[in-house]
Amino acid sequence: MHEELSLHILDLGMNSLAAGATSISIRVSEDRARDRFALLVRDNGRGMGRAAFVRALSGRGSTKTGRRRAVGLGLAFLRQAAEACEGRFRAASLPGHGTVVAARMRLSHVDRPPLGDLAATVRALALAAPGARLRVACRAAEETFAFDSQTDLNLPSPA
Amino acid sequence: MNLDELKKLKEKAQRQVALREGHKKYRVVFSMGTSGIAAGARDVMTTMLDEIDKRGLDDVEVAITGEIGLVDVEPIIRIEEAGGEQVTYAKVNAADARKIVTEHLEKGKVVEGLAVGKAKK
Amino acid sequence: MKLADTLSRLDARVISGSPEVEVRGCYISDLLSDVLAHARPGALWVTLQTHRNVVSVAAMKDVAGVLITCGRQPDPAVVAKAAEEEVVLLSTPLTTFEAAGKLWELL
Repeated sequence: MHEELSLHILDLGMNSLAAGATSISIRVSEDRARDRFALLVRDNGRGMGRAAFVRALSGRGSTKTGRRRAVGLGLAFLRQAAEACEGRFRAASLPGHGTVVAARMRLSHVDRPPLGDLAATVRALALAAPGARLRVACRAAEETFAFDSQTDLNLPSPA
Repeated sequence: MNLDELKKLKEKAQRQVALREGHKKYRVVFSMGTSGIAAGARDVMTTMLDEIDKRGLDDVEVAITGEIGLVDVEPIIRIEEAGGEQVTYAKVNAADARKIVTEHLEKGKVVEGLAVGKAKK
Repeated sequence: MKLADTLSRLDARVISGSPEVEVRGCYISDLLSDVLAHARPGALWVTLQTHRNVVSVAAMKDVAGVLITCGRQPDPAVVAKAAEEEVVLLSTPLTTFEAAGKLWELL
């Protein structure tokens, strides 16, 4: 597990870019009334076939990598965090279409990592793939925040 | 969730992207795979970007790559000089990051104690 | 010193793998990202975590083995994964504090 949930989001976003995504969508919400924290990361990358997907969820990573590379641990780490916080973890991937990862956890759970510096995560992802469209939507209490690299950074649309 | 930082983000991100226009003397590459993230690479990146911003250095381009597999020595930062050397720094913390900006990027002096590799591009 | 030589002092038993490996130091942490960043190859990793990700991180960092404290038991799927990835798993009823104290004397 990572120390902050925003670091889990960064990890997932970097996975998306490694999979060739040109569009990444991130949603984060805090709902005090339902005591729920939720995050979702969706991409249009090359996706994973069944075998690769099962390996990723079990923390094995790519078969191309050697024993000492941490590629592919991100999904397993987030799943662990969700499970530790009475939460739920869901992921789906379709080769040629993309991957979506969603985690939910009890907002007030004592083991829940803090969200942390989400702005730094978005900054890093925007830098990591200037050609990709990065969309972020956050909701907390009465406030919302939205970011779209296409409109907010005056970037040309990806082909 | 503190949305204030997120709101300031748009301006910072716009400035970063503007930096990518044209050929730059220096290219700073951060490794941000799972092990880099675990070692604190994101926060080192933030410190460095803010320092570059603060000093108004515009001859610098920033890039981020994924997992490079050097699990024991991250955070790793590579500085590439146009037509010149490529220097790799390892186990970089926030204070080191600021030093790399002031010494290497601003004055062109490699920070010897931190550098672990040098190569011609 | 071999891991096997530490077992009786640690009141530890082997859950998976062979303890005939050299131990070079010790790292104590229950936060997996911290272990990923800081543990050294050949160290004995001491933790009370029994999640399957412990096996992934242990394999990745080439630790000598994982000592699970407080009498906690990993479930059979985790033990099977350890066997498959050749990760040595040990278990002790001692608390992390007690195990650390004994290891400090030994190593």
